[in-house]
Amino acid sequence: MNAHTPQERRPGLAALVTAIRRVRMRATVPRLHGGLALARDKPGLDRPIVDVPLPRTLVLPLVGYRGRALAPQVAVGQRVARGESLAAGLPASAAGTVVAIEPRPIAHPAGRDAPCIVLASDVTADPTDTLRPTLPALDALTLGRLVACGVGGLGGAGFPTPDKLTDAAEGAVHTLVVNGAECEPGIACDEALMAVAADDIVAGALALARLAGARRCLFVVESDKREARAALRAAIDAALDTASDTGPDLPDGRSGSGTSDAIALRLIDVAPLYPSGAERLLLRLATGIDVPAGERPTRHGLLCVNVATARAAHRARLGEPSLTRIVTIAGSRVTNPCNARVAFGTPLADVLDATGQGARDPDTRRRVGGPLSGHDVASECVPVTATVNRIALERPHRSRVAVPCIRCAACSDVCPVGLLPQELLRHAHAGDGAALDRGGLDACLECGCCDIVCPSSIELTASFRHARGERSDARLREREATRAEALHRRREARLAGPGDTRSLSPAPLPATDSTSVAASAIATAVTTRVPAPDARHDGGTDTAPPGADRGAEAAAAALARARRRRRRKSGETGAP
Amino acid sequence: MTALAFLALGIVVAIAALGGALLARLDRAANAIAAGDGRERVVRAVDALLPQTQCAQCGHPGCRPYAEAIVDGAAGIDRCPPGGTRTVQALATLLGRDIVPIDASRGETKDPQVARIEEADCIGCALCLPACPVDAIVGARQLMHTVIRADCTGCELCIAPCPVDCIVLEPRATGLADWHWPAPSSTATTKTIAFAAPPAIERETS
Repeated sequence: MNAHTPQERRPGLAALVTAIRRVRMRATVPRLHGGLALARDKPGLDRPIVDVPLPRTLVLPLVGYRGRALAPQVAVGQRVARGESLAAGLPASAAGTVVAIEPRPIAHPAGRDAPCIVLASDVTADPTDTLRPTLPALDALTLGRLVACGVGGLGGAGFPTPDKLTDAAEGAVHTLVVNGAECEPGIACDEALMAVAADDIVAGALALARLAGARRCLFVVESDKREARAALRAAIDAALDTASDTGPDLPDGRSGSGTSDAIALRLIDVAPLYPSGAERLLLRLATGIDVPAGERPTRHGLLCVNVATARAAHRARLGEPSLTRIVTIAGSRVTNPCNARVAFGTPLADVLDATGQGARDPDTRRRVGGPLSGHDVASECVPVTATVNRIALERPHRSRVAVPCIRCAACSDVCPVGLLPQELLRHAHAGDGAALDRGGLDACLECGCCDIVCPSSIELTASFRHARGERSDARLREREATRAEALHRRREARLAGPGDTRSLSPAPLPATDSTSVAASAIATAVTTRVPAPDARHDGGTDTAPPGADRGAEAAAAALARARRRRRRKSGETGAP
Repeated sequence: MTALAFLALGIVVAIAALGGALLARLDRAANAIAAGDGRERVVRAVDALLPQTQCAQCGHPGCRPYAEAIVDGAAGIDRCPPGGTRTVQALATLLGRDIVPIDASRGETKDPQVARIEEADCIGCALCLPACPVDAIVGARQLMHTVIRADCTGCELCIAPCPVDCIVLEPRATGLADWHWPAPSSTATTKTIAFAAPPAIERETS
């Protein structure tokens, strides 16, 4: 858990330091502090992946990473081809017609509607239509191709993969880590994909490693995913064999060889422990390098992608846009747990119907994401997006009474990043932002381990999520206040400058109510700044503002509009 | 010199943090500082807690003059509606005064907002330009004006001078990117667990 010093920049020394650190880490750690060995619950692995047919209506949210709004690049009524870009990083999942761009419910914990592109798809009989290439295959993967194919992060957070690689181009990335840990119970989409598409994953990882300039490629899998692990092992061996057939000077699977082209491939087992699949923890387990909270792994020479993203990168090289993902359908109220390949934009209702989940009880809860990391959604109209790794139908919540903290420190024992949750909770309740920062709130993964072990049933994670939002709000307020103060100072200085007689003495204005204060402040400002104004705004007596004759008519019209508006407003509020 | 300033400020803040039983002593300390050369430092500390909206709702032409009035005892700490109870609390802690409700006659506390000019209605009179305390409106006579969204503090001072009521105020945060998790319903009484059957737990015994 100790924070390592930032990477040395001097090449020789850096290599030495890294080598020593790696040896030390391998000898001592790669294991987590805390974490939980949760029961292995991987639904639907005993049957093949179901292909969900393309629905008639696709809903594609204009929402990017972390809720950023995307600008649509199409208009209502426009015909779009499959894979055509609807907005930055958002390809059309199917050919069809844009029927609306309007707010619709989306899979977001806010439970709010967000602008979406509604696409009436040209339904074809072939459910695998979404998998046909639309672009010619390339010899080597390029950044432009990733963008053109809309390859986004298919892990939990949905960080845009092209952005990661742009970062990678600036730093010296030496290692690509492919995340196949999928440590959360109840989710099996990555495991199902690894079992059937290991070759694609390895090929995609190699392509991404070449693109990023990485010299080695580590595939991290939990040791209890036997089938997926075996498939990856075979695919890696096959890739190494092919490579050794074509070139003599090649890696033995442990270290890079002399040629610049050679990329070492390694399969790394990690103990099945939640949350070892979290990016920062996984990187530490796989490489021994600590990436501090708030820093990008690329700054430390690391690039981390999900297995599904690696596969999507391979398909993108072959010209296939990234239009589908594997989704686990599970939960206590699901009759037919399975993994399904779903086109982005398919509403949950279509997925559940196509996989034979039958009628839903009225009190069934719909959940998107894992049992710990996910959130409930209110309606089945919510579409599947890149971050929807699981759809669950659950029983209603059971209530438990939270009792005060007994200071058992079970939460500190399990915290995978070594925080003291009980202390953080105290600071969160007190609203002590500085103490939260000191306590490492920024490093919290929101994994929920502390909630599980808390004998008092305290909602620690929810409190930390909230506190984190409050902290970022407070920081924003602070920044804005500083900016406003600087702007105000500059203005004061300007007004006090030569040629202006205004005094800076803080003569208090007569305080009655806010409007009169504002009006008198304005009056002062206007007399100081506007030379001989023809008209002064004063209550309801409007006169035409000064201006050339040309604008008089427009001004009169605007005034008439304003009067009408005022009358309407006063009519609404009942004021005279 | 700067170190000394920081030290003095640090002492003020540290004393303030003790709170509770030390309030009376703190008050005296703050007054003592305020009486001498320390006045400027206290004013700065108070000013730093104000929201810098520069809205003049407190009756002073800006946040800094209000901070001076507070330190000189000429004004209470309850006159800043944009800061709301959060600011009152912070000021009360810093200055060792009682927490009081916001003076309702000064205005109401609103969510962060920004001004926008309805461009179709703007007649280019330039009356709103001098009213803006942060120079966030650009424009000239006979030309359309517009508000620099990033600079606007939502102080509402431009509303009154506009002869055609073409300036509207909008909430600042609207997008999903500004959304944050709400506080858990009530941590003290009930809890709904995130999944129906908790997975089996084997505690690590390391």
